[in-house]
Amino acid sequence: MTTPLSPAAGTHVELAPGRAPAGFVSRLLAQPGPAVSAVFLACVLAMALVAPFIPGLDPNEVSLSNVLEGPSWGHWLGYDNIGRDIVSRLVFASRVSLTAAAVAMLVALAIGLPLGLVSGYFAGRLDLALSRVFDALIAFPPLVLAIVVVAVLRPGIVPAMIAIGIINAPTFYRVVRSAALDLRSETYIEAARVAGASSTRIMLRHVLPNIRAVLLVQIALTMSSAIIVEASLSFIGLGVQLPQASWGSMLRQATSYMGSAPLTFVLSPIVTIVAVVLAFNTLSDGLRGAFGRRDTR
Amino acid sequence: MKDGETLLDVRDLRVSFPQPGRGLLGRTRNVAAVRGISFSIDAGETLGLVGESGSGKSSTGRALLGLNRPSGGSICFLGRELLGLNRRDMGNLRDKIQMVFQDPYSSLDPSMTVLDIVAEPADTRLKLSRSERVAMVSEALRLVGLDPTLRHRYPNEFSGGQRQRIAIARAILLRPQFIVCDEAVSALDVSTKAHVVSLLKQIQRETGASYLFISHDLAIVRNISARIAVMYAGQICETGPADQVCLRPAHPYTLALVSAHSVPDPRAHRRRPRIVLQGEPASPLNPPAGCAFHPRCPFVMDICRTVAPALTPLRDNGMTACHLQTSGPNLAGNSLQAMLDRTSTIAVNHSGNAAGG
Amino acid sequence: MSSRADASALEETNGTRPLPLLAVSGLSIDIAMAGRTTRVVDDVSFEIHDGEAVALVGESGSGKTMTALSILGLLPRGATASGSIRFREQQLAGLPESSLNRIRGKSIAIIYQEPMSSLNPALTVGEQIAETVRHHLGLGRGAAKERAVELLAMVGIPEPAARIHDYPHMFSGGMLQRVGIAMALSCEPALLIADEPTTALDATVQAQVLELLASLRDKSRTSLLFLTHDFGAVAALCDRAVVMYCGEVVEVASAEALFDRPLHPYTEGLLGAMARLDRNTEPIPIKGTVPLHADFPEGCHFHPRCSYVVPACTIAPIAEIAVASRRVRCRRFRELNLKGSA
Repeated sequence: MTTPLSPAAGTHVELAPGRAPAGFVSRLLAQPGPAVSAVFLACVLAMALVAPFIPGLDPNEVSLSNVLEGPSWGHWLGYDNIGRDIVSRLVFASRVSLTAAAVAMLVALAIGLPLGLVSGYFAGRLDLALSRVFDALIAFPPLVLAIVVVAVLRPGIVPAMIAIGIINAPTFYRVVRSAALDLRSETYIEAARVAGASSTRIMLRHVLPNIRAVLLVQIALTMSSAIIVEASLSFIGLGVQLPQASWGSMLRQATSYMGSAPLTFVLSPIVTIVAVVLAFNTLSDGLRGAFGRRDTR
Repeated sequence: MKDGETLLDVRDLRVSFPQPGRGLLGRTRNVAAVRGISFSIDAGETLGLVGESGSGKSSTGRALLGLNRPSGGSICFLGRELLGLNRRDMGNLRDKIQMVFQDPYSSLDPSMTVLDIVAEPADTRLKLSRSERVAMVSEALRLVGLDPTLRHRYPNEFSGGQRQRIAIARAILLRPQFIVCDEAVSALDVSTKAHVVSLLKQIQRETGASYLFISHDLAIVRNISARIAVMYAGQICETGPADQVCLRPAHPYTLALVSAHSVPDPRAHRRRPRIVLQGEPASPLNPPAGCAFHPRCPFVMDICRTVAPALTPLRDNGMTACHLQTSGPNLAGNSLQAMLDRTSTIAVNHSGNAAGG
Repeated sequence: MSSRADASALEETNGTRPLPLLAVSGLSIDIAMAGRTTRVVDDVSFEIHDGEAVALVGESGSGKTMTALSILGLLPRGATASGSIRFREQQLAGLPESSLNRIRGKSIAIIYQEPMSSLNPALTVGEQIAETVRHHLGLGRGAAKERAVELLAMVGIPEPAARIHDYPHMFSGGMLQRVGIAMALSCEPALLIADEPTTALDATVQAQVLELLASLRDKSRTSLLFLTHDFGAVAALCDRAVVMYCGEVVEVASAEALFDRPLHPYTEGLLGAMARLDRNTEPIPIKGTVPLHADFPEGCHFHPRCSYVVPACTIAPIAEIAVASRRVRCRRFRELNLKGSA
């Protein structure tokens, strides 16, 4: 039915000057899911940071008399196969996993952001060339590439995550490029040119601040996928090596003992990974909603 | 520069844009938006540039700012040729030539404060201390009638009229000698329009700046301009003193444009002889042969279909590009208005014949 | 046009004014936003009779668009309307969606400032018009197609039989607006609401569309509610004008009376602020700016900007006063001698 249903453009109610539209953070926290996720991730991060300073939390202290024991007072998740406290290992593992994911995300950002900005702002031949390069990169299956890198270099999480970062760069590139392309037609970009701004200044002072929204969303999403990749690599033994713990390597250990180990041994890394990934994804949804329609009219 | 000296001299300006061809093997065509126009502006003067879609008026304004690359002609500003200037030299002129854009909602960066927005022309060329910067911006804000303490606010906290004032403050920050106003009041409410036009006139009185005032609203153009140039399909079809162009138009298109601007008086509206044109303004993609206006012209003659008329001077100040001036059997001595008065309304109907009404 | 105004004035004095086509009475609209409720339209009343063209004049923030949308129940989410909207004998306010759907497009139609707002870019214009008439009038395919051609011809589109197969993007701005008008008129509505239909068009094309609307009104007795801020268009097309400011009706009068002698200082201000082509008068801006909804002043909403303000204007809200066939919301109208534009 073709009855016209869209109200005319320009229908709006203006807010009084001085009363800026409800702050971004409060808009984010007004949504229940993202609010919970943000708090949860903040706690995980906080714990990871202070872990070395908490007495009694030692991932390497071996207590052979408690091997594969279940939860008890003081050791809420029990002991692993050589008697180490699972809680301690989990907390210290989060340092490793989060750092690894952050490395991958930062590498992807460092490559994708500047190139996406340049591509989107200048367009033309430069854009065509760069886009083809990134299109090729995106064709690589990330995990396979990581395995190859690790196999060729040496087992270790850092080279693998750098490779993952490079693989994720095209996503940042595309997202930044498309946002920058959208902005090109905004009059304030032209106005900046008329005011004498150089291209660099325009990209840094006019384009970048106005693509904050998509950037933050992409950062959250990349973190969540990088955590999964790291966990997968470590699970198959190519990532973090013992005695260092990551969530994935803990899972690897646990699977060998599935029959005899307490449930918490296997479940704790799984639940942690799922929870953190879910939190990052929910947060990214919330970020999208919090930026929403910018009040420009 | 003293009032009356020639500030800007444009000769035979041409601007084309590549239009990608259709289909897989479509060749890129060049669309001529501006097809050879000439005009000049003196110091302290306002030239109104009037036209509809496809007239090329916006492209003309942007060419003066170096926002597009003209394909021919010359733009002489303060004795310097602007065409072919490299980016750096063009940038050095930015303190003398500035622009006010049409849409106050998209010409201000929403992520910057008013202070940063208005200060940008200075930030890009001068090294100012913080207090100098604030003083400069505050002075500009005061000139446009805004409270300088508002400089820490963001654009979305202001109304359309106020935003346009901020845009004007940015344009006049370095006291340029020439400002292009590209439909600067078109997006504003009636009462706000009046405020901003009055502000522009006041700024001109105080700083001696010249304006190229581009608009489709003939009434406002007449109010602010000393002279008016009317553009159609990339060419100028008439120029002259503002009052003359509006009250005694010499070109049929100008007459139609004047006709199309309704007056706020129902009885006068019924009384006025009106021309209602058929069809849309000519598209630069496919300009008609001969005189670009001939398919819509109520006074079309055979010569108009094949030969493009040249700008010829009129008896009083002004010029027009119309064969009626040089070879029209009806015109000799008669004004267009007189020809029109014989019939109350002329509407060119479907078959292209003029019908009296 | 004047003969019609004369006729209705005569009917009025005889007390035989027929039932209005549309009677809006005490309409108020509140919008809930950012946790606060703001009243954007306050106690608006006006009438439209058969075959009459009424202008709803106002600038941004006047509430005219909201008022028009509420007639068709098209208010955005978060907006609630109260009051009475009678269309003939039927009360439209509070009507369920299904009933409103039967009225929209059929008895009351709307055309927008941007013609693309109501057109589907993926269907040809013929298909869209045909769909509307098939749905509302139950016409068969062949009859619907014929009607589409007929309508395109009526709005002055050359070669209508060929153009029904064209997609919206193949039409230029003015032509597209005509297509929008054709669609709106497809079911011969009694009332056509036009929301600034010519604002986005070139001057010469605007003149064409206004001519078209005038001729359609003359030929088919379709009533018109014409939203605009351009008094020129009001003079060209409308019989009566309803002037709105800050969500309230401040003046209602016939077009001629309004231009001859406005009764409200805001109307006088608007007329004086317009640049005119036929006279060399300098436009006089109205001092001050339109207040934001949250900052409406006490008493008369216009008083901070009014040249005729007295202390009594600043205390209590002003009620509308009826005089002859006009209405005005001003305490001082009897003693003021305001200047028109005629």
